[in-house]
Amino acid sequence: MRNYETIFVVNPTLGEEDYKEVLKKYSALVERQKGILIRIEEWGVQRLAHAVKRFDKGSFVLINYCGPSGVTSDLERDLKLDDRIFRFQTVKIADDVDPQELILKEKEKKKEPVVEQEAPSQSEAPVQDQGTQPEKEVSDHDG
Amino acid sequence: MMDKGRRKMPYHRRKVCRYCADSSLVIDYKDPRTLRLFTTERGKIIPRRISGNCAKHQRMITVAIKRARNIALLPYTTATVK
Repeated sequence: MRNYETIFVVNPTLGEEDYKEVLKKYSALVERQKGILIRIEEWGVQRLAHAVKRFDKGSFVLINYCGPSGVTSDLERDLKLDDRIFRFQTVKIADDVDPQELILKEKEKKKEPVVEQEAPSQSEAPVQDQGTQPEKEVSDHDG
Repeated sequence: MMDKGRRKMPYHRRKVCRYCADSSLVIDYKDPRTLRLFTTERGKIIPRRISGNCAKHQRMITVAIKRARNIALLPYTTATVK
């Protein structure tokens, strides 16, 4: 199984329910493709470094998942067609991974860094170690 | 003109790649704060000869910056005025 990470920028003007629905839709989509969700990070509304579709703010969502090589194609197609998504980008993190191991690691991480998370400000993107394998770009499209 | 004395050797200190010096540092496209250190105010990527990175890490930084730009975490340029 491969480990992928997709980050997408959602329209910040969406209501709470619509936003939740977007999240649900894409996490369900990953699972439908026999992928295993490992982590969903919601960064909240952030300033964009450059305007995208005339918006200067966007709501960032990061999903980390495992799956066979085909998982990304359906996800990316839907993201591309979705008006609510400004931008998305998928990055392959590792080639051969055991999803259960990653889930365990994730659980451990959650327990530990409670103290650490208080220090950095909200705008900072959380850094996580990504193993020793270099990232390889799968694809990146304009949304 | 061909005087040896005239030719000034510019002083420069050989910088050490900070990612080689500290292996705990991770280059991550999701961390625009760190990547900003390697871009100019205009948003251009700072060349290796100035940043002091080794080839391997400069390459990784370049890729990371380009990824960050794509999802609007870093600017392509600051010239965009609304």
